[in-house]
Amino acid sequence: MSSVNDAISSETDSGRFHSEVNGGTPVFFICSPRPRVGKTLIARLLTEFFLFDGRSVVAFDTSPNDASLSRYLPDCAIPATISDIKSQMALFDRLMINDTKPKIVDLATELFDPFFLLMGNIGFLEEAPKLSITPVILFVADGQPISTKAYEQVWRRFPGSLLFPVHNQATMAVWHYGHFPTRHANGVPLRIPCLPWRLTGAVNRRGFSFIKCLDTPVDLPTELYEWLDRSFLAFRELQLCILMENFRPLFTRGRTQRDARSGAQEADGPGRKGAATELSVDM
Amino acid sequence: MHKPVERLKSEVTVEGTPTVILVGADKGGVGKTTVARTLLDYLAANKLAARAFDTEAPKGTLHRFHPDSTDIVDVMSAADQIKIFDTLTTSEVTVVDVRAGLLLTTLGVLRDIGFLDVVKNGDVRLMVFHILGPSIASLEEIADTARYLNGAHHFLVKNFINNTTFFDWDPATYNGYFKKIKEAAELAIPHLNELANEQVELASLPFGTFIANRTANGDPASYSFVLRGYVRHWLSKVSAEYDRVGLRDLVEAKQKVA
Repeated sequence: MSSVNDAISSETDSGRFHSEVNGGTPVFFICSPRPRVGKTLIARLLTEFFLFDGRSVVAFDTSPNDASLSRYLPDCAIPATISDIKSQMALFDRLMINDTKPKIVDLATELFDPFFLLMGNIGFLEEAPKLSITPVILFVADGQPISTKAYEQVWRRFPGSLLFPVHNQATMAVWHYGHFPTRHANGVPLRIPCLPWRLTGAVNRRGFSFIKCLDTPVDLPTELYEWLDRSFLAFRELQLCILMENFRPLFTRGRTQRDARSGAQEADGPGRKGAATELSVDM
Repeated sequence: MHKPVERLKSEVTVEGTPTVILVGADKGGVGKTTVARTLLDYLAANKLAARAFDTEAPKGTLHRFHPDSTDIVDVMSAADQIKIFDTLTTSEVTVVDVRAGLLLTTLGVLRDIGFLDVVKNGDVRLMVFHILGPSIASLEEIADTARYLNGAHHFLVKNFINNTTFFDWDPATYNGYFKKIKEAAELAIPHLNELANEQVELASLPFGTFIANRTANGDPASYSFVLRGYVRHWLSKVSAEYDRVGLRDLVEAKQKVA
């Protein structure tokens, strides 16, 4: 077997290999410690992005007093809570099912701390990859210090996680690169363009669906198409980014082997140093 | 990560000083078997060969969770005393889950058969995990137990698994009993969610096997991820307590304890 196949095989065995490649399941947590930063709008967009792609998707609405996600997407959004162990089982045991359906959790602001505490305690991020489930944390940022601090806490608490800051241009005009560092995509956040204010009323109307709008283009203003285009493009880039992250071990492994060979050659004496710099994968 | 407890009986004689761990209390329902189970999981996770004896004859309690490594014995019978104490070198650690009300009696028997002298000489390491109950009578047992434990390691265990409180309203009373026994180390077993605890009970498995989502014979099981997560988190805290008091280092110490 080629070394690249070896690497894929070993990564698949360890559960790290990307869900989109090996038929696994991505789980997105859309979160922020601050209210009114656009979490539910982003959850709606992401859910409909997958639906538009022809995929089944399950969304979880954790806003107990304002079940807004379920209000917009009654067919695929389920109310969820973590207030007691049975509710936690109903949520997390479902998130742990590798059925290839993307899962989206719209996390209520007040649940930010308890949710991540629980997630850490039960070892969700450690156990999920073993079942080919890829957890992705989408942190909707804003300019408040509480947001920066919370981001840092999540970063530190889950060092190996796929954590992406989200720049919702409707709530944060200028992106503070230093405040929300990323481990991925060269530090670029997931950028959701500003929804023109003229459209907010229509988009927030009960039962409004982005897909329905795309299916009935005649009655819609062009601005909404442009906005959806750019938002969906951002999600495509996110998918690509996740895919690349899951390929990273292949390249790391290649580099490790290369370094080892290089070290061995140096130990043997002067040799073909140039050859040692080639990527050690057989295609 | 905690692995399922396997049968760890060995035909060969272990090197170093064998360890006997007595887990007991003179009151029932304080969680002796739970603590014995956590000890077996801890020893297995640390790759320390352990065998266990369940003195709840004839049915056994610990045996239900660890049938492969546990024998049911009557610690008062000479034949079973031979079975336990004449074979200590076959395993690094021997855990004895002492039946409720028999801790002091068992220590008396160990004194009578000369076992405590062997401990005093450092040929065998004895640890007593004394599980405390929330009563004055239980605290009074501390001093009674300590009288037998010259040269042994005495651990006073507060088991919070069932949300027990230990004289929280009167710490002076509680501390008064503890100060008398300076050599004893205090341990706390944290609370475990009731539903998670109940599921492990129903499954009749070692904690590690439940966490690994396996059945008793090693097949994949379908226990709730959340409940397994609760048990994993709880067991890691229990293990941290055992590490804090240096349990692994004590068991692994090769030299005689004077």
